[in-house]
Amino acid sequence: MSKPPIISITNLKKHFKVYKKKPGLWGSIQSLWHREYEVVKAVDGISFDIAEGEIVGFIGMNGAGKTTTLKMLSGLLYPTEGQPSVLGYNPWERKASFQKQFALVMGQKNQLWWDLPAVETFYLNKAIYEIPDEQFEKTLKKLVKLLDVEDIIRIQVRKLSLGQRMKCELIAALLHNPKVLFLDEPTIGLDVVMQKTLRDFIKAYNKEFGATIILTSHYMDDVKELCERAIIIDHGKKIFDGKLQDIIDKYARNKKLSLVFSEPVTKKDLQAFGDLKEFSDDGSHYTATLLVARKKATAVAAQVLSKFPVVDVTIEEPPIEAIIREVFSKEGS
Amino acid sequence: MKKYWHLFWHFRKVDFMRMMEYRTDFVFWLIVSLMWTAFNYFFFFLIFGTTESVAGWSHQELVIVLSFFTMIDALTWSVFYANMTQYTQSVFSGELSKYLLQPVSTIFLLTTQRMSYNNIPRFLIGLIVLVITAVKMDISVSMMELALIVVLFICGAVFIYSGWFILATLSLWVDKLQNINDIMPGFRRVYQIPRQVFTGVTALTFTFIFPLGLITSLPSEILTGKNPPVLLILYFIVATTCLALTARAFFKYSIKQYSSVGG
Amino acid sequence: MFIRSLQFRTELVIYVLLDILPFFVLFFVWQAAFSGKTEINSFTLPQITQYYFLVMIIERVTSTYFENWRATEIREGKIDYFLTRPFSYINDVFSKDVGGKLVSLAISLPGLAVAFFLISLVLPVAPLSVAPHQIFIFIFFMITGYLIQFMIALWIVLLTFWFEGSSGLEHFKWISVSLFSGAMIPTTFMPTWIQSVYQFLPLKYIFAVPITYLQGTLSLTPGMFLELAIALLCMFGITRVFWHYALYQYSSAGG
Repeated sequence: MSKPPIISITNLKKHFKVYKKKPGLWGSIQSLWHREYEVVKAVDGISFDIAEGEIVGFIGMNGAGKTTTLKMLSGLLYPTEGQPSVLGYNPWERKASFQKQFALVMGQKNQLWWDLPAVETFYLNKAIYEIPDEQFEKTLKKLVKLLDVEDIIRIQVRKLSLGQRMKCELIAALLHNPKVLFLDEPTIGLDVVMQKTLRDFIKAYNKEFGATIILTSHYMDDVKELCERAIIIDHGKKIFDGKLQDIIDKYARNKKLSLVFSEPVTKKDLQAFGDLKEFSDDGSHYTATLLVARKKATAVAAQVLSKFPVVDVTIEEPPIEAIIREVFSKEGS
Repeated sequence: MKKYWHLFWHFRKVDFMRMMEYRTDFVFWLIVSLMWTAFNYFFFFLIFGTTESVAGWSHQELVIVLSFFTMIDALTWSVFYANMTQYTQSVFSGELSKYLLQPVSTIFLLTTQRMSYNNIPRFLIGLIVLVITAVKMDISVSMMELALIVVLFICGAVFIYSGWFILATLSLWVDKLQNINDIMPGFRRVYQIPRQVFTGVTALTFTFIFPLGLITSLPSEILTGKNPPVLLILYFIVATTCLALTARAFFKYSIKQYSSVGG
Repeated sequence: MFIRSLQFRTELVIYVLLDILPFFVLFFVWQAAFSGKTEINSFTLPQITQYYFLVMIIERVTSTYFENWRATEIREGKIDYFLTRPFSYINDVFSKDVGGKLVSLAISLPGLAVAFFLISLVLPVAPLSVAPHQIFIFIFFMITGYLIQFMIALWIVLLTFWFEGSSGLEHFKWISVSLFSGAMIPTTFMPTWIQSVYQFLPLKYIFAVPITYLQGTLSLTPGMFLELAIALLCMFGITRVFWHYALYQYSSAGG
């Protein structure tokens, strides 16, 4: 049954030398003859295997090492240690046959030529990736339809909104039908509607073309909707690798109930319903925050609403940072 | 190979579209480049006007040197400058990764991606003046000599480009250097004039150590029948080849050390 | 601002080298032109070398390089910050340029002085025997020369308020200044029609006048100073008017 994994890394490391400069005028003068540096361990021993067709989410805070890992898998960075293998290739060798089979999309960087219509970049990519005419037309049509961009691909890229640009970026990246897709913060800066559109698209693409996808994101929703499997990376190390549902069940145990009351209530009464995190009573405003077990959250909310003079209630997921913090604190202890 | 040919012309098409997009820009720079061409000819006209011959070159022969210079200079500003600026900018902005990901030789992409059509008129003027002067002087060259002239001209262009490429690749090592792209153009003066103008140590420097002085001189000397030493010609061709190979090797080595910004 | 200038140390070294190179090459050209002669147009080779060396120094002190990026700044609408403050944009351009210039000069002028010394060992340069008061006058002309160049550069920048593609206009400035100021070649070498244009424009006060004065071939008259003063005042007046209309254009176009 075992097909070899499409992506495989063992003990991957990337250490950077970063030069430090003392601030101010004197620091600049000093830097003329002496520069201090420190070693930043961006990636410090990560290992995992990914099978064909999987969608995996990389979760981690800024600077955790997600993008660096992706760059090593793309062949952009030369690993300090460890040999990644993608589609059987060593990405660092940057063989043309390898590059034709994968795509890297970074949310903040663009591939599209700025002052020309997106469609021109598409044709350029066709030439660069040597996509046969028929396949190109077919794929282009399909992608354009899926993303609904028919009317904007002939407009200059610089005149497009961020969301429209992102859609075109995706198309440009997918024209050559890559088997492996690395998405680095693809939904950053986009509004909620656009985020959903992109998520649906990625899901559809994976289903239709069977591409293997690694996705990094700050937004829990991205990962939740798309990835069955999640890898949490912190300070260059892999903290967790497994089903996303497991993390949520295990660590995102609580939901946060934010309550606003019209009349004063007692702490004790509230504490019967959950973990009281915040409580404020200044004579005119009465608010409280309760942490309630996930599964019971809705039920508890209903009870609180009926028992207390609640004016406003919000039920929230703890943000991903909180979940990760929980995960880390568990690992730490 | 076919793919690269195809891509090259695709880029030219894109350049053309861009030029049409910014039409007024194109006309403006056309005027500017013509102005500089006239300025160059005028300047040397003023100096050479004071004397019969300069370092053994007659006025008309000097015009030939200047015309070769104009053609190479046109290439410098329309091809090299645009590319190299794009190259160093993409290094500083981290966009270089875009090129590294594509299944095409990165050096090819960096070289051919962007060329400006602004200086084509300048190139043509240089060529026309060259031909007119040659006709006026009643010059006749054999096919062999003509071929050699073309080869040497191309050599000169490759030499400048390789040197420039090496300098631009330095941007992969240094944090931020604003005028790295001004260095090569700064040396243009050296080949604006025939190499015989230089004397002493300087002559040695610009003939052997940095054979910039040969770029326009050699083709001019062949054209005007001054018969430069064959050894010198060979030396120049060899030196250019070495420089080009060094540029390539240096680039590959530098890429290894390169880490994209914003990782 | 100072810190940034220090970080440009390598760039400054490059700039100095790039300055010296054309001067160097030009020497050889003139040397070849002089072969067999001791004098051309009443200049000896050492005097011509000296002329161009002085051009190089004045160039370093008076040239402006901000036209391009300031124009871009305006085009991208980044000057709103200035327009809402009581500190004039022009003052900012001026003070930043002067400040940066002082730092870069502090570093490059000594370098140039060393270069001059070394060059005079290798090339025939006429020694400069000048009285201290002459040096002061020379410096005075460099300051006024800078002001002239600054104002012209400012006009180019201000044109951005009306024209999108104003970048590159500095090329016209460079060519005009080269042609009509004596920077390209001493006046006596120029054809007569250019020499007559010389008389009209104040550009000659940037290069030709101070250099030939220092070399002893020109004696200054009060009339010249008057002419220079009038020219500066007129340019200043034009700048004010220009700026006024530029602001008007900017706000009426919605910034």
